Amino acid sequence: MNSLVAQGLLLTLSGRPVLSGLDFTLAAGEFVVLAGPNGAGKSTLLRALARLRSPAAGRLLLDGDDLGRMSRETHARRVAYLPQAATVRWPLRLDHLVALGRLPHRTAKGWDAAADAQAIARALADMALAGLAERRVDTLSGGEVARALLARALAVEGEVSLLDEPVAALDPLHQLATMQRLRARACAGRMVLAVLHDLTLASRFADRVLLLAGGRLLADGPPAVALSDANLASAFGIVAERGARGGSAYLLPWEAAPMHGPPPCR
Amino acid sequence: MQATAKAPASSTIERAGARLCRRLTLALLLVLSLSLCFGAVAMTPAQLWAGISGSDPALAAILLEIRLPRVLLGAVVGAALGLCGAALQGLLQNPLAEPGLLGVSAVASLGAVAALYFGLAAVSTLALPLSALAGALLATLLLLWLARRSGSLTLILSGVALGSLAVALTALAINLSPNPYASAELVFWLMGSLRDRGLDDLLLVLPFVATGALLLRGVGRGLDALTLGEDAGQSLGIDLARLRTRVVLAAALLAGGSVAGAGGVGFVGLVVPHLVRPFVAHRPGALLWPSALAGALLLASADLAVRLLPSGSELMLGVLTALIGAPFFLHLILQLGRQQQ
Repeated sequence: MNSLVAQGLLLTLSGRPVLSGLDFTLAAGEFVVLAGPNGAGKSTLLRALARLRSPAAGRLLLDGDDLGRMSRETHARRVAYLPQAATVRWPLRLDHLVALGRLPHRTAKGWDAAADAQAIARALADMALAGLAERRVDTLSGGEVARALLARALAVEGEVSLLDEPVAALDPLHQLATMQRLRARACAGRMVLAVLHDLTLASRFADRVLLLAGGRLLADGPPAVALSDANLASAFGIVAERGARGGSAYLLPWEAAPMHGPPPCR
Repeated sequence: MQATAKAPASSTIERAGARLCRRLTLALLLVLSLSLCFGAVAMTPAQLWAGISGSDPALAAILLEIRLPRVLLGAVVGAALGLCGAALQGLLQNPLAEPGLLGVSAVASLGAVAALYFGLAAVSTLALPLSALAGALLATLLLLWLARRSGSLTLILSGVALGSLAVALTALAINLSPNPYASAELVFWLMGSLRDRGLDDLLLVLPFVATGALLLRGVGRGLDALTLGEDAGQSLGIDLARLRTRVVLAAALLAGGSVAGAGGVGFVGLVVPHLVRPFVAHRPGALLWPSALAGALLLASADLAVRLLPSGSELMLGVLTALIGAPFFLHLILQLGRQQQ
């Protein structure tokens, strides 16, 4: 897989434009974070890439092939999707839950059981779940279930992984570990596109940030460029504290920008 | 290392599922043969053999023309209800989905009662099952439309409302029926029973149930994917519209067919999948066929019980399943409530 391309994309929700004039090209091997304030259209864009809604105008191309014309089965094998606030409806065993990610590879013609088992084991190991594999999901904590669902999406081993807030329910250790794993998956030649509200994590781990605000793509570039002071003020209305540790820069959302919100009471 | 450890783990589950099916089949065969021995005339195994081998024509007639069709009809209706419940629960991702609770059976009953009331059933033997089927289809489509627009709680409440409306209209038909004999016929039919059902009834019901079951072949994968909800399920390559159509059509055929065969037998579709679920590791796709077998076993046993219970007149089958099923349903709701806390 070489590229995922959006050309002149227009996405609407019940007739109202949510995102318009979107153009971007994502390459294999990139860990891309999709950031933006609530209601900016991040989930809508992810759903369009997951083929759960069709664009009102414009095109989405995966390696030059129109996403909408691809067969359902091919798309399911190539593009994995983790919805926002995902849930499990039945108390499956954790390894069975993760194995659902292999469904697209299990065709009527048969499947490669060894590849399945490897993908499941890799996903469980990546999410540090190997020890819980035989537990029922209703006996796990919320964060463990969130990791299991992320492992399910990773088990697809799609060329593209679309993850809507994959680390929102995780504790700090697992947030850091998960970001590292996602980055490692990208480095191994896959593309990861994740919606993230945590700008500190985004700026530290992402290769690239797509910043959505005001119904358009406000910025597209490495974190230092896309999450500039000006962009943070205009997209989120915040001011960030910046620093560096061990040669890498970090940012910390600090306070509302002067024109936004009341002044602090201290 | 883990890769090698995984494969046996899941094939253990597959083997457990196959073992469950074998045991259910054995138990079903046992109950069916026991069932053949008991009835208005009890038979010893020797007499049973005399009937089967045809050496005693009177016993053979009782067995083949009266008892066997009834026993098989019970198993077919039970299988239809168990399968229907399991498929609907998988599609709606809700353990409370069941043709009885969702009003599907009540609307099917209304259709059948309308056929009896307007005398259509006397004109053609197909009128009753077809109108029961039409009722089931109408109700399922309406519920599906409601399910797309709102959550599962709304769906179940709508089902309850739909069922109440159908019951009220059915009561109206009984109320307005021309003579006491006709209204008694309607009432008895509604309670659900296999009494006096014969080969004709079996042959009438079988095609609908078989078609419904055939439609459900291969939907297991889609139901498994829906464990993750509709969005993630679709991202796994599931054609949701197609899956919905198949399951709804199948549910209508199964529920309509069972109502046409045995009247209003409630709670089987709710209880059976719930009992089977732990044995298939809660996977909705693996639940379908064991639920059909367990439903057949449950209803065949219940029918045997109503014939054996020492009551003045034979207890109605639907009354027995409701007596067992309703407390069970309450237990299920309390359990779900505790889980949500």
